[in-house]
Amino acid sequence: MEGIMENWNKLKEILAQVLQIDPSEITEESSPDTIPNWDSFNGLMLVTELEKTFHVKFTMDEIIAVKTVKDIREALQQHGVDKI
Amino acid sequence: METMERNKLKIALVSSFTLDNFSKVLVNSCSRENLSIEMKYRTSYNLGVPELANIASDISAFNPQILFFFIDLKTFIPHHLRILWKSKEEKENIINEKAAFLKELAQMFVKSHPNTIIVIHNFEVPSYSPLGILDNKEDLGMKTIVRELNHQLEKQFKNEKSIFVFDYDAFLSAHGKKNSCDQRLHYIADMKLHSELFPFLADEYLSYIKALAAKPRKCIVLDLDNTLWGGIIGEDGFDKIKLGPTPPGNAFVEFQEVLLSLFHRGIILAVNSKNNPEDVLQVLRDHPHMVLREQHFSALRINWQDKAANIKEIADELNIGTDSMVFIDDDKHNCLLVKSALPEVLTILLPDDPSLYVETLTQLNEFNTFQLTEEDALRSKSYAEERQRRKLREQFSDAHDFLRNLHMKATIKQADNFTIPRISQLTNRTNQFNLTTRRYSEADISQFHNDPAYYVCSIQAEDKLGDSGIVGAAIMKYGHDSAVIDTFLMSCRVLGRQIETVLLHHLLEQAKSSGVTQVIGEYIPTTKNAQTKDFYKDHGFSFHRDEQSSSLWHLDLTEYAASCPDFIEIITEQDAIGQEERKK
Repeated sequence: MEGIMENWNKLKEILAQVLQIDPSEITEESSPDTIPNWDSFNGLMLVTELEKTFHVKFTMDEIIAVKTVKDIREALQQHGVDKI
Repeated sequence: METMERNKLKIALVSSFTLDNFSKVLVNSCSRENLSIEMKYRTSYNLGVPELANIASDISAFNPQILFFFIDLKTFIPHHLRILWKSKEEKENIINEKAAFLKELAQMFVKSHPNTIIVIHNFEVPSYSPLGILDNKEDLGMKTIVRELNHQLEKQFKNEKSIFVFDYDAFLSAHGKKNSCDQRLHYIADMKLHSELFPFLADEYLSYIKALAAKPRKCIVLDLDNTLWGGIIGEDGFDKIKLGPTPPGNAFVEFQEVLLSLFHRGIILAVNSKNNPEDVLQVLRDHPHMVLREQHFSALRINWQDKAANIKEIADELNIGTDSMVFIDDDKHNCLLVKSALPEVLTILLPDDPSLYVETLTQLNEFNTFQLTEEDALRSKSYAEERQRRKLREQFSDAHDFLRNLHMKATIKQADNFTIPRISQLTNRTNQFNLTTRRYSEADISQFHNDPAYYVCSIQAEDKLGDSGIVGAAIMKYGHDSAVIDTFLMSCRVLGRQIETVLLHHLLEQAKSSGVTQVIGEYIPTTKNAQTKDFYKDHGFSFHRDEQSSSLWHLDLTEYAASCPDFIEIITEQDAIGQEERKK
């Protein structure tokens, strides 16, 4: 069991920390529209934190395109992050 | 410490791009240093005049103590790559216009806020030029254009006492220009500086903020073994300590070089070491690779008592506060001890690796002041000479014989443009031997100097051991038939040599030759100047009367019999024209 969703949990932790919300509030559909703290500045903080944690580097287009948690998940998968 | 906690410092930042988060980092960095600041932050995206005027009035209402301008090259010179292809003349015009724009901007603030310190970033010299390896063959290549602009900024503000240029280009170089900007965030969010550099930039800003808020540190107390040299002199011996041109000794030589440069800036050096004095003195005097020698140290504590006690003794001996001292040691226990016994001392524990010593020292931003007078630079030298005087004093049983042996020379000079800054500084810094403790700005002193009703002078002291610089000053105000000594002060490190008597004698002679017959000396008691209570009495004045907060002492010049020590050679330099004016 442990390990299958390991990175998904990590992602939720980062989101919760940066956006200062409870991890249980986060779903795939969460976006700046549903989480008030998710402003453009925190959005960039997210980029930095995700890159540090998952050892990836997003392109400018990816950063611009990401709108929801689902988008983040897919972008991470694109960069080879599994168990997410 | 107290003042730091009481007063919130007002700091303003105007930038040409978004830096909200940097202001937060700066506030945090300040609070780590026990400095509480109130921050006002504004962005001018296009540096347009109406926008700036708006910001100016905003900032004006805030009335900051320091105002930082962080303007980036791309905003300041849009399309800078296109400028390269203009004629030399056009390029020069652009550089001049841009420099003039910043001059006007700064001066606009200075005029309305004479007490605000303004700090302007210079500009990042681009790493890229389309001319490639030929860039510096051009009269004004891409890099030269920006360097020239930076050079002009420095030039035009060189003599402005409240405008400072922050070398942002050097800051970026030190941290690596390539990594100073995340290009994705630059394009997406206009972030022109990587947020990882924010704490480092905040440190740079702190250099200015500390110069304003905290007392500058003026003395470095040094351990010796494994600090100034590798190894332990008492165990390894003179020939075996690591100090010299080969590694690891070269790291210690380099460390001493930086300390020597701080000495030349005026930072006092002292030794605090657990050792036998003979072993250490042999190294200080005879080791071929020592950079620092006996004459660079103002106090030596080489003994086996605890290091905190030594530091207190050094502070007493030099008559400086322990809160102006930095203590550097490689030993954790010594550092802990000093930290807990004397928390006001800045204690620096050296890293294990001596190759990091220099960096540890050069990172300190504790010695900054907004002005450096000639006397500041002389300070460390004269404190070191003072130690030799104390040593000499011990050789004489009679104080007069000692003073005679010093071959003292005092030069008394009517105030002029060169001495006015120092006179003002003395009125602001001297607490102990200061009869009235009146604080005067440079502008105040200039005003007295230009007013024929006043006489302002300074005294400079030297002897066979060295030049102490300007150590005392006096201000006298002429009335109808009398003169009042408004200010009379002396730096405490020259006391006990009767230089104060020479200065007073000069004032009295001066009053006499100006035709007045009565002199009034004022004494305003403070918690610190008790030692001057009987100064006028001891010099033949009689008690006149008490005023609200002062007592007045009186001398009838017609009955004054000159008494001046004969072992001090006195040189007076007068402003002859001023003298004539006064007689009329």
